[in-house]
Amino acid sequence: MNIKPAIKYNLNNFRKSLSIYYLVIVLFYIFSLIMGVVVEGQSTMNGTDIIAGGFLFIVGLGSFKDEFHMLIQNGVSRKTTFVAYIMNLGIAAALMTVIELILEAVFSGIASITGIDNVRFGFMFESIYAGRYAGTGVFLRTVETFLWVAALYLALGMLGFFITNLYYRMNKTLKIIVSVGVPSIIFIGFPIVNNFMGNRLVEAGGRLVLFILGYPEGGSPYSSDATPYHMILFCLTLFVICGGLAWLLMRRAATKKL
Amino acid sequence: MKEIGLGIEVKGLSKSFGNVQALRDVSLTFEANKIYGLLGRNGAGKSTLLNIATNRIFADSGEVLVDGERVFENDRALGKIFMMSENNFYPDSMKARDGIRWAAEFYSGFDMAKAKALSELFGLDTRKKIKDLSTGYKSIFKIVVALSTMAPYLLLDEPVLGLDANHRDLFYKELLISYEEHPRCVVVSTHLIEEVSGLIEEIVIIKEGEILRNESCESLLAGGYTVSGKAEAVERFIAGKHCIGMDSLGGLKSAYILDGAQPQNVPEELEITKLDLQKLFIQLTNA
Repeated sequence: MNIKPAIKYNLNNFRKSLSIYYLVIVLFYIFSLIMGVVVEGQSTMNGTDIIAGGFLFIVGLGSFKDEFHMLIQNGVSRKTTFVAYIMNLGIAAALMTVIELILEAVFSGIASITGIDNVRFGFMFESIYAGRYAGTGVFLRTVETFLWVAALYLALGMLGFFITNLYYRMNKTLKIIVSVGVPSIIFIGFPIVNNFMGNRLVEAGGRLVLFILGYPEGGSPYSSDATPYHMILFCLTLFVICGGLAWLLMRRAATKKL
Repeated sequence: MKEIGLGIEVKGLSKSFGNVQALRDVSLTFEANKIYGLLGRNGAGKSTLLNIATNRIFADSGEVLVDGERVFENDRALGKIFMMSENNFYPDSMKARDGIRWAAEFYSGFDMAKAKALSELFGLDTRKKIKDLSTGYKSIFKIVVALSTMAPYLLLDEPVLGLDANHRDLFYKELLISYEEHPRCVVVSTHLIEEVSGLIEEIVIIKEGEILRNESCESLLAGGYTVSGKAEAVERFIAGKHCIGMDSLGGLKSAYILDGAQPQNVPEELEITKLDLQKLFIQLTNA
């Protein structure tokens, strides 16, 4: 099995983009600290955990054609290429979650030590589940942050991989139909239908989002009843579904003339 | 002692692209430790056959075995084959030296010293990105990797594409040196028949997706001859013989006979010469 070199190859590619991404993020953190000194008033920097998810989604989008061709050139089967991607994604999701936790802790520490108390660093996760962790220890919060963020990264990374597989398998006509059709449905079709249904689609969508986020019926982010496990389960289900569909597409993917 | 493999067995392979039938029920074996010439005109199905053998595309029916194991999604079988193809499957941002380094990761017997020596011999600048290399140097990069992998099955699809005469000559020499040092199965798919005729032991001629000839180069050429002379004398001589084609120039004619028999009772006015592989190929594939 060529699984080890395949993972090594994937990780090597991922390492380059990850280094550039975190260089930018660290500069952004430093910039926030400087702004805290220069500008008066309270400021909060959160959401880098979600941005990192977006980064993994884009990495997923760019993780098929080149890797598939390079690995098949070197005698690696599709199955091994797919397994190597999952392993790489798993490592990336865990690593990036840890980096996010470390960055937040380090820069919060620096802000505290240097007395820059008008800048607050935090996770989007903490804003969503603020009520749940009021008065609880750091351990539970850290463990649940890790699980929630890592599950989100897995889902987004696999979603990107599935989409790029789908595009690879489609012919030109289908690509055009999907590229035009999907945005048309979302931005034109959906509002029209929603309007026709008296906004019930948006309301139902809102309830679904709140359910996935684990808010109790009519709850708010400050509710102590909110649970992150709905979202974790949802992300893992999305990961499995996208992974399954990506494999179905990939197992019959032929190399293309370049 | 090195174990000799069973070879690459192709069994009843068929493949179509839309309305075009690229391969029709093709069966053959590329035996271990032999050099094959896979010859055919453009679109004959050579690349399709090699691409299926390396799991890059899928057959409609049939299968390919490497040392008795199905090659389909089989890492162990795939790890025994290295295919150098016309297409570039390396990422745009990859430098030649990285392409070599990664090949060494995937092919356990990869000879890095050989890769370095070959790169120097061919004048390959390994610091350049593969996509920025000229067509000839792209081929050279792939040759360097192919000859250094030590894979027991080496499939070379148009290996001399874009190479000048000097580099082509160097490639043929290095291929023979590599073969002598590490005997293995080498399949060379090329249009430059005359150049490889001295290199190949076995010939597979493919036409419109079907195997036309699959035998040793020696026996194929020994089964025929060329008769040349005045047109009328040639016509008289070849009557009743299996003539696969003729060339005429003025009043002179050359006829290519392939009937497995040696010429007898040859009139003095006619000249008998050996069959030329390229001529034979042209006549066989034109028919």
